[in-house]
Amino acid sequence: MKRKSAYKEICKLTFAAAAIGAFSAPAVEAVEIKDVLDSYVEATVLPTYSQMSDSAIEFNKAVAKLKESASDENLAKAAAAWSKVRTSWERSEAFLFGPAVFASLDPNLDSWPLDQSQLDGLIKAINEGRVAIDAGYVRGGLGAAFRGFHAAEYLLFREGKVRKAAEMSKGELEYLAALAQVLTEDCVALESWWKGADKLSEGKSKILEEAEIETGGSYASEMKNAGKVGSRYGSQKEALSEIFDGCIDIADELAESKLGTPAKTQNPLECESRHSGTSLIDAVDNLISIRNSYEGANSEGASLSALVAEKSKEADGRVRASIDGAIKSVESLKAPMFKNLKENEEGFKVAIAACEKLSEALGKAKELVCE
Amino acid sequence: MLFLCLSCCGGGDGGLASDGFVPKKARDLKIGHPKIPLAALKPGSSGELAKFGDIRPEFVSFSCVACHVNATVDMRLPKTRNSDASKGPAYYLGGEAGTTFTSNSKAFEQPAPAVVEAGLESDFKQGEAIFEGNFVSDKGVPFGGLGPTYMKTSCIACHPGYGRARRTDNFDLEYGNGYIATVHRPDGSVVEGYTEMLQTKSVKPYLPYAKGVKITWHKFVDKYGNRYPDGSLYNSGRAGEGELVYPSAEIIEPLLPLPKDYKVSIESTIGIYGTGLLDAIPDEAILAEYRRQHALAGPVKGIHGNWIYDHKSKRKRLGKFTWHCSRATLDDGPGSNGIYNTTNVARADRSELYGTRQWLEKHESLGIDVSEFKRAQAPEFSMEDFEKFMVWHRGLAVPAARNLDRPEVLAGRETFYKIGCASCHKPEWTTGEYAPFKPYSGQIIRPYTDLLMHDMGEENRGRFRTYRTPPLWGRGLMRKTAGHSDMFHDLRARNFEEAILWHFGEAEFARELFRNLTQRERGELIDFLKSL
Repeated sequence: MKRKSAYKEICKLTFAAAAIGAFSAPAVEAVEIKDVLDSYVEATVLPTYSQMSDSAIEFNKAVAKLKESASDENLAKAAAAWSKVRTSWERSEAFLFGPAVFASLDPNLDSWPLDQSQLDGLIKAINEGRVAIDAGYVRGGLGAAFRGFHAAEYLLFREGKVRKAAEMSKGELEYLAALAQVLTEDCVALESWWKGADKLSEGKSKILEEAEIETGGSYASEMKNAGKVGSRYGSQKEALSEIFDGCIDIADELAESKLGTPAKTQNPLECESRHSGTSLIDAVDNLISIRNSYEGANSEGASLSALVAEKSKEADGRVRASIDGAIKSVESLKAPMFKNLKENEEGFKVAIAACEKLSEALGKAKELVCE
Repeated sequence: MLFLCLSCCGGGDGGLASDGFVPKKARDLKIGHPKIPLAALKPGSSGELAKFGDIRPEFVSFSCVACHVNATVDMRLPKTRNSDASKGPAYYLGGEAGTTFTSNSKAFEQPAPAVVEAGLESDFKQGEAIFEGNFVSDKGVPFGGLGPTYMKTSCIACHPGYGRARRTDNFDLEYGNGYIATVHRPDGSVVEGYTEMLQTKSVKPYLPYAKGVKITWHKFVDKYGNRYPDGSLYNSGRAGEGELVYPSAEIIEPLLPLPKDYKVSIESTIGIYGTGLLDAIPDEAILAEYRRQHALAGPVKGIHGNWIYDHKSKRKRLGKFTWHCSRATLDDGPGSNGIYNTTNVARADRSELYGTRQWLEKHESLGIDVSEFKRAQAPEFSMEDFEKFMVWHRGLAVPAARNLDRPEVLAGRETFYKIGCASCHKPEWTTGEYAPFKPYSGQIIRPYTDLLMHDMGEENRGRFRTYRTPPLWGRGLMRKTAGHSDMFHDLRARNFEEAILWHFGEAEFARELFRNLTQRERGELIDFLKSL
């Protein structure tokens, strides 16, 4: 909300400047694409990933404590810490391009659905002493269906609620600890791919070093230097199109899959984050991710929104209104999603249409500034 | 006939002389053919009766290419700009119906304009979700039915960024290893008892065909010490300067017996986008290209795929997909088959276990019940979902070309033709009537492949030494979409330069001509390839 207020303040200032301009020579400065890219990278992407890896480190500590002392209180703390990391991840889903894709961090962190029977088999094997689990085993020996957010979620939650510590076997605790460690490494790796390994904090560098994970280059620099030698972006407009497409993709995914499939099939098993019951929270965070990308978080006026508004205030207004509309429509759905599919039947239609409208508005805005 | 050697006007006095000879055929036809130096003949070749294949590739000149390779190649270049200054047909690699102008990291993921126009976007997106989804061993759940043996749990595991995965020495890598492995005999036939795609994963209690595949990389030094005639090393100034490497593979803990002469070969995945448009190329057109190549005396002589019965059209169709043209149509193609045999997830039109009798017998001998796999499998993946998957598969657009106004790119395009690349990397096709998706009919597309297989030399021997010419469209965007530019049949080439330098066999003459270009010309050619 703080980010939103900052934006409003900027708008007020802009309007004030425009009003003064009406009585003197017009002096409205054009929004520079370079500033928009800088702001997008520095004020939206990097803080999101940095926050995510900070939270992951906390989650890892909370799980270590739980493993040491399996109390309901420690389990609740670990679950809350998981949710915090999850929030950052979902708020990054409008920028699932670059390292998240080519370093396979998206599938390793967020593969879904889980292979529950194989996962139960693994837990049994750990409990029976047939598998000695640790981070190395998860990192090198287990597939994406056995790691990441949803594997951890399955161990921490059931039926939309935090489990009871007494239900957790020794094997589950060991597995969770290994998972939390690898999840932390993956989150730090993602931050490092963007920021550049040389700009990581000492503690985070050590995490990667111990896991023998190396990252290369700085995706942040490549985006900021779009159109220059060394950047894979051939032009600044191409980098802008990447931001738009990231937003459009997640809006489409909400409409077609995340909300669309459960709405159509009425099958609770189709609800991602079903065990924690946070499917709708994920969806709202995805939309916030679009808002942060488009309106800019602390962007000081150098946002996609400002760039679009220069071309067409109407097109910009439509995107912003569509974001708000989509968030409201998802917030109106009854949670948890997996238990309220029938009740949400009408609400789904509204929310899906709102996400489709948002995708379309973003597509039109993209045409205005990228072509 | 254009392919007669009109550009070679040096004339020849015939016969075998100490300073060279004129081929008898050219003499009989009274073509003014220049003398070929005797040093150009490969050992054991018989002078004036020598055929083109008896000439050492390093002696093949531009004029040889003009007559013996390019004579019947369509050399007309499409316009880069229309009269109103808008982007011309040269940019529309996927035709009007199938080209996207997205050139960022999502360039390979876009729906074709015709898909949007046809109102199929929703099906396309749902099909995309299947491509990205993770199959699991649970039964009766979304994405259920994985196994009993499998290779990967998802399509995207081998196709990051919807392209192809990078080179690796870790076959076990779940995401990013795009290799498939085949255990075969020296003639390329699969060893009895093994599946064509070696499955190294299984759901307990079942056992995979092998525990894994070990990949080893070897250095390769050509007869020039990996240097250009100007003395500079290949890949100069880059990581791996002067170094060409290729992989070999071994099987780890095979489940079934192996003959003494078995081999293991690995092959990379190929891109997905644009395959719907390739599917729309008529068989007759491919045959015409085949005949064109064989009518020339030159080195380029593609092999077309086998005729394969197509259950949908109830007639035989020409194989054109995969590295070995082993699949004829997209509906029966590598994607529609891959989602079944990589995961072993059954569907109505693929109800048999992807497995072998020997695998079943091995399990029985170990007391593992496999009776359920001996009968037709209940569908684990609905045909409704499969249809959406195919809408997505068929509908993936080809990225438009880029930077075609730059002089260096245009110069590179000229070189591309001049050194004979266009003979196999056939630039342009016109699609035929395409029943599965009418808007793809009658499109002028530019995939840069002849859809034929070529002998790439012993240096490239894997399961075979012939490979289908891979399309070049979109290749310049690989670094953006998947973070690398590894290519060739087993990803031995890290970039365009290495890919060209791995052209042996029928294409070695082009490698030689490339080596003898100036550094600037080589750079321009690569700039052109990057623009695709």
